[in-house]
Amino acid sequence: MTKKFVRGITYLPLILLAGVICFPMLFAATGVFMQQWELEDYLAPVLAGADGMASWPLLPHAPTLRSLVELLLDSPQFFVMFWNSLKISLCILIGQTVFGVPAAWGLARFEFPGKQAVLLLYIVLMLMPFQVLMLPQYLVLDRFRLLDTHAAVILPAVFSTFPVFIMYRFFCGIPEAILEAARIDGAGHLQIFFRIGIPLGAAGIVSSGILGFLESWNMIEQPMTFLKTKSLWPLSLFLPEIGLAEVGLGFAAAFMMLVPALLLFLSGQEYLEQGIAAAALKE
Amino acid sequence: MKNGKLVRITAIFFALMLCFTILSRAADQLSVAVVKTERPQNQMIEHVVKASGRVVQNQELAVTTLPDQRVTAIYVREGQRVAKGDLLFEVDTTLLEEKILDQQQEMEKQELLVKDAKSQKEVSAQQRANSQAQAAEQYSLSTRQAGVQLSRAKQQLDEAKKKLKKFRKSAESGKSSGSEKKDSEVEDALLQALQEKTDAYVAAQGELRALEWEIENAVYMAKQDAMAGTTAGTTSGMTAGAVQGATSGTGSGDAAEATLTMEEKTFTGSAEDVDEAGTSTDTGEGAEVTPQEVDEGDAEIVPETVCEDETFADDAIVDSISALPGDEIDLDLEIESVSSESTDEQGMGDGSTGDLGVNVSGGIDLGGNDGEETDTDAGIGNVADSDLDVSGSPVGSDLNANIKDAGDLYAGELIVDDVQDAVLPRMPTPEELTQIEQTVRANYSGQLAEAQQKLSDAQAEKEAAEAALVKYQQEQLAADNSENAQTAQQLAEAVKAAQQLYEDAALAANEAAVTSGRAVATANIADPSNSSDRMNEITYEQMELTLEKLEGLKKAKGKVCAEADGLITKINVMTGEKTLDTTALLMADLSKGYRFTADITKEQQKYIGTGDLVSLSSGDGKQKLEELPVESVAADESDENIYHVTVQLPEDSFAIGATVNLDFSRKSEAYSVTVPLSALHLDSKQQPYVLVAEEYDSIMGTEQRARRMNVTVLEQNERYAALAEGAIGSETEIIVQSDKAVDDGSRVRVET
Repeated sequence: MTKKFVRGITYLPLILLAGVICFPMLFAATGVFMQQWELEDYLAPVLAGADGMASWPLLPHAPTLRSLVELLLDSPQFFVMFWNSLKISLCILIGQTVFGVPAAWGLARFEFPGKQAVLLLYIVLMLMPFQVLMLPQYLVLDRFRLLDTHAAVILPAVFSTFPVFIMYRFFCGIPEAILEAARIDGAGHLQIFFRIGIPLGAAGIVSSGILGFLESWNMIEQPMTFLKTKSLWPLSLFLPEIGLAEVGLGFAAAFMMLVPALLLFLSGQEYLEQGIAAAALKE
Repeated sequence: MKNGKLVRITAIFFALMLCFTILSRAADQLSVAVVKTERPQNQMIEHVVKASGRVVQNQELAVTTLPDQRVTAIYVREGQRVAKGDLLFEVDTTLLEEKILDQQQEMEKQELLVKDAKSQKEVSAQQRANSQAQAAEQYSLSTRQAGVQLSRAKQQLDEAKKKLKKFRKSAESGKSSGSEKKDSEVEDALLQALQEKTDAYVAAQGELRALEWEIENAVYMAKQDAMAGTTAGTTSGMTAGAVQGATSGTGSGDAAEATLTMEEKTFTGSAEDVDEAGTSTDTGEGAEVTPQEVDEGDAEIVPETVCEDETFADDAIVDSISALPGDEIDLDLEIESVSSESTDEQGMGDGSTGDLGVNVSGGIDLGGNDGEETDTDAGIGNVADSDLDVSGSPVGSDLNANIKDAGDLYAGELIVDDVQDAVLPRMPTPEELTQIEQTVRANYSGQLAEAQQKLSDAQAEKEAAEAALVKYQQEQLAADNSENAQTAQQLAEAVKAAQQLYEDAALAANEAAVTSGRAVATANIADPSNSSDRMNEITYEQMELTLEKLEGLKKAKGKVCAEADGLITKINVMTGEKTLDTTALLMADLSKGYRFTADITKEQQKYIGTGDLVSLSSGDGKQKLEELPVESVAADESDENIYHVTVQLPEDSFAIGATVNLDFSRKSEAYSVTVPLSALHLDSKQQPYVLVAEEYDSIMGTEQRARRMNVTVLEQNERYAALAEGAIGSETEIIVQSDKAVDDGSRVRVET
């Protein structure tokens, strides 16, 4: 009893905290089913400069699917951006896999001069925010005449250091004995990489893939900077286009944007946890 | 959650998203307007005027015939073409013949009327000549009488003087000559001076008379003018004529009466004048003189005497009237001529003339009655009253009043009323007449005063000369012995009396000359114009014309034929009915050509003008005429938005009444920017604008939308509008057609 009580006491702040953390989710979920006028009433103090404070009910007064229907049936622009986002994200994911996995394998499994320096450079680059890299990237992309194309967003992300670093950690975790055994069995470098390295480092690859997808799905500065043509814009730029008059549409869009990320997260949750743990276990 | 399930959910999700993508795109395309665009063209704006009108005749002919003829047959119908000489209709010849007979009889009557009028005119001319001759005769008679009297007076005076001289000489013979002789010379000189003064006095008196007559004449003429100006209408004209006739009679009773009134004022009354009148009656002068004296006596003396001394008044009137009966013969004679004359002048002769005649004789009776009634106070009083009234009123109405008064006294009441009725209307207002008279008199007042002054001066001088003579003679007498003195005194008095008689005779002679001269002048006043004979002649001529026409119709056997080739447009006569004064038939004169007329709008009128070459085509399109000039474009009188276009047509082109279409096009200068009218829009402020298709970058890719551009329209017709160059160039894609309403900013899809 006392034990239960103590546990209850312990859970209470946690539940409250979880509630606070979950509130934006609730916010987004209820907003989808609200009428436009209701949303305007609640958000006017924030978005339209009306007096008072913004408020938010737990349940909508007049639940409706109008915003969702409007988004799905009357807003072809949304879908243009949705598919743009998906395209960018998948390309980045594939690129990262194609280039990042061998890079991480090489760094983890081969000894060569300057290896430590390269690793250090990777870490430094990984820590650098986009704002720092923006100008050099822009100049390079301009030189390559890649500006205002999806490649301008995709290519820099493909060669991002973060997934390499995460996968490096996983590949490092593969015991040397297994590789020795493979070599003894007559496996070459490629055979070891494909038959031993990738399966054993799959968790790292998946988690880096999920993290990379989420990052590219939510990417906002790069398309804003490098894409001028509106038809190339990803979904992350849809919301800034929306004002108070279309706030319902905004909620619906946000909701729809959440769905792929959520599905991906749920399917890769296990690997993701491992990956995050792996990243945390730095040398 | 199993991974497989999640993958399935993900797959479903993406499949759904794909579906919605397609659906939303389909829905989106439904809302986009599909438009057609065109580039502005470089071309001219052509204004086409199309109108439908009719062919009408240039000139219409009216076929008329004499009124009141019975139509027996009509040989044409409306819309029928007739050639020159074609029989149109026929009238009843029997009725026509009757009419001709009637007309001939009427003409005969008229001819007689003309003859009557002519003979009447001749008679009245003769009468006028008669009266003129009479006046002239009267003039010479009276002046001669006066002359005889004057010479007699002169003779008497000379005799008296001679006697006195003789006596003096005989008296002198007994005395020493010396101073006596001188005395006789002095007396002669005094007598001579007196004679001169007397002559001067007589001359002054004559001048004054002449001037007074002149004034009265001027007043009379001015009034006549005024009356002639104001009188209008037959009755007033007639009365005026009657009165004029009456007044113009020389030496007639009327004239006497007229003078009576006219003279009233001229006589500045004094006892002396009465005396003079008394003396002049002795000469047996004309009627003019006598009434004057009656009048004078009444006007001047009676007012005093009626109140104060009746006997004196009686005496005066008896004195003045005593001469009248002797003159009555003359007067009666003249009355006859007056009444006949006035009858002539009035032509048709109505009651008023007779009345006037009666009245005039009443006026003359005054003299006779006066003579009889001298001893009755009441009668005299009445006369006096009536005359007093007369003298107080203006001359014009004097006559009237006088006539009335005379009538009151001596004629029947009935007649008086009639006269008043007949005479009164001719008068302008009495105020006006008074004013005219005053003006005329004022003009003469200076001269009159001068003449009067001269007269009184002459009289004073004469009296002074007389006094000097008397004084001298008395001194002489005093010096003589009493016996001689008595004889001398008698002789001197005889001379004096003769002198006075002589003076009076001279004055009377003057007056006779003036009065008779006046009568002559009056007789010479022309008769009022009388054109009844000419009027009758004109009527006759008109009748003659009508007869000619009737006979012409009869000659044509009552048939009325077309005078030219034409088309019957209207028939106003009916078989069996009588013709009216109006047109019997209306026909289009085909020889004068025909024209096309059509109505166009005010808008169309801007582009078509006189001289423009148009093409005309018949309603069925079979017949077409090109390049015919427009004769006129004129606005409709009632509706300013309608204009009439007329085009003269060549012969035998279209039939009268046919519907014909007019076509005309006018090209403007070339404009570099012309757009179809469908591309031009007007906003609520009447600002014209066009919508151009514009590409823009959107999330959906490159899309097109409409953008508004304000323009200035230079010219337009029903298809194109020319725009001012500027924002719109030759490359601009202008939306000319759209399947939905398009506004500024609307998304559009350009159909290629």
